[in-house]
Amino acid sequence: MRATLRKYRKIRTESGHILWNNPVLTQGLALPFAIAATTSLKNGVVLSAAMLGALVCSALVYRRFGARFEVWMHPILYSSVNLLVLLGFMRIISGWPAVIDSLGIYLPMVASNTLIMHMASGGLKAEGSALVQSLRIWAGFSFAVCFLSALRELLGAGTLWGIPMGVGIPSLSPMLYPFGGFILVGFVAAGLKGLDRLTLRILSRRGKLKREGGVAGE
Amino acid sequence: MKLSADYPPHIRSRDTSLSLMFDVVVALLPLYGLAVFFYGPRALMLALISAATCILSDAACSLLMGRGLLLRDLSPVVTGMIIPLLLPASISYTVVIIAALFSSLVIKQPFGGVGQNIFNPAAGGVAFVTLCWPVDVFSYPTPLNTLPMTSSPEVVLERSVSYTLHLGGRPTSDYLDLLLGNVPGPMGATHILVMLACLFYLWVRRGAKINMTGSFIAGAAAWALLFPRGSLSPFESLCYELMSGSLLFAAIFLISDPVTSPKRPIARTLYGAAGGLLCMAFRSLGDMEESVIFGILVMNTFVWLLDTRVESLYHRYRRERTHESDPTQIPQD
Repeated sequence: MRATLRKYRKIRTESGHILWNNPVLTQGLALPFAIAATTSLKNGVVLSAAMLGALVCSALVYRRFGARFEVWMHPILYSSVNLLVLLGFMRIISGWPAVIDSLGIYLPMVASNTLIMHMASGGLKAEGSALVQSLRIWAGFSFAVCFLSALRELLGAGTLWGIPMGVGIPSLSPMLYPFGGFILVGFVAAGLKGLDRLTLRILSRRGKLKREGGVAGE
Repeated sequence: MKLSADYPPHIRSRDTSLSLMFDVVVALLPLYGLAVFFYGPRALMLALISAATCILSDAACSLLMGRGLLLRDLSPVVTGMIIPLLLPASISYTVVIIAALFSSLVIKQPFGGVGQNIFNPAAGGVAFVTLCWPVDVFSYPTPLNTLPMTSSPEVVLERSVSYTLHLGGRPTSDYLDLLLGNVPGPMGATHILVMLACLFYLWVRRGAKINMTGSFIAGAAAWALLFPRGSLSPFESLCYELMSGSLLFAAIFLISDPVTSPKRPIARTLYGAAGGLLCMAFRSLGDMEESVIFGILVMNTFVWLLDTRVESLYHRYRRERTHESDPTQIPQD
């Protein structure tokens, strides 16, 4: 049982940025996107793709020019480069005017959001390759944003990717408002934490019981 | 000196939290009696479903958080009884269940349960379903028509006096009908005379803080007199505004909720007056015909601020007085 607990803890550490140390749900970074912009799965996927471009670009800029500039200049550098990347990205998705309209200010804001600022202010220096770290952070962001988008679209409009699901649940339109986003982010974050605690408690208790049984048996 | 912090409601008399809630339940019963008289036994069924949902969701949350069943008061019953009274008698059972679930699972339990909620649970639940289904929530059956137990499309629905006021029109209902509750509206919030009797009962039993309720009504009355809607005279505006919608019900049962209201009397008076003005501002300037509950929820967020500000002023005043009476004594606050 100890091995299982160790294995779980290892998985927990390795999948850090996706679940247990998620940048959005646990660290509270890039919250405006999760709360205001995740009103449909399409929005979530587009935000996720935009963030991929911005984070990979930031990592490459860090790798190429990171040492040449002072740390205080990094946010300006990253934001400026990301803005150019996002202009190109917006040109690519110009065939989806409804999504661009729906995201509004939040799409250009990807260039200078708190995730980028976190990386610019030393978040990439911790360990390992900058690119791998930014991909991990992106995976965490994408998971949170896509999950919340899907949930909000399903609850608020009864559709998924614009397709009516007809699951028979009443349409709760306030879930598409920012306060609905706040409530869902809170519940999903609490749910993740609760699940983690429950798993740890069950594994620890089983291990303890087994040890006690072993001692009694001896 | 050892100070022990405790959760609200802070009760200074011999009453307990249970007796306080019991008084509110007793005060709500006549309103249910009238709802049954005007709309039939469906009103009672709505109350039973709502109260049962609140009790079960509260119990489920308590068990989930490992606290065991907390039955120290009747707060889920009170919440469950208030919710249907703010809705039309023709409302679907699903809507009432969702309002009750929202009030318990989102408004009350995540903050720590009884005594620790920031917002009034019933107001939160009703606000949520109002945003979800505004057409259903603002369409009322004609009084003195017994409604079928199941939702039926054959029931004739009307708009309320608040709707006419919202459009800038002049309501046709006379004042006597408004006083007796013989007008379309939320099933428990139109009976003005009975609600005033309930207020008197709660005041005698110390369940209602009269300064809070009074200042709330005074604030709303001041707005109605100063800014009459449409072609109404100030007097007509005063009568129609105070006797329509759920304003008086909110003044008696929502604004004076001991958990979500300030502690000091001066803070309560300020809170009530600001609440009355805000609710009327929402009514006059908002998109919805009836937005008193949103005003209550906004005011709930100011309770902490009012408490801290008034408390600090009170302590400063006490320090100064102590210093004036005995300059050698070092004030200890």
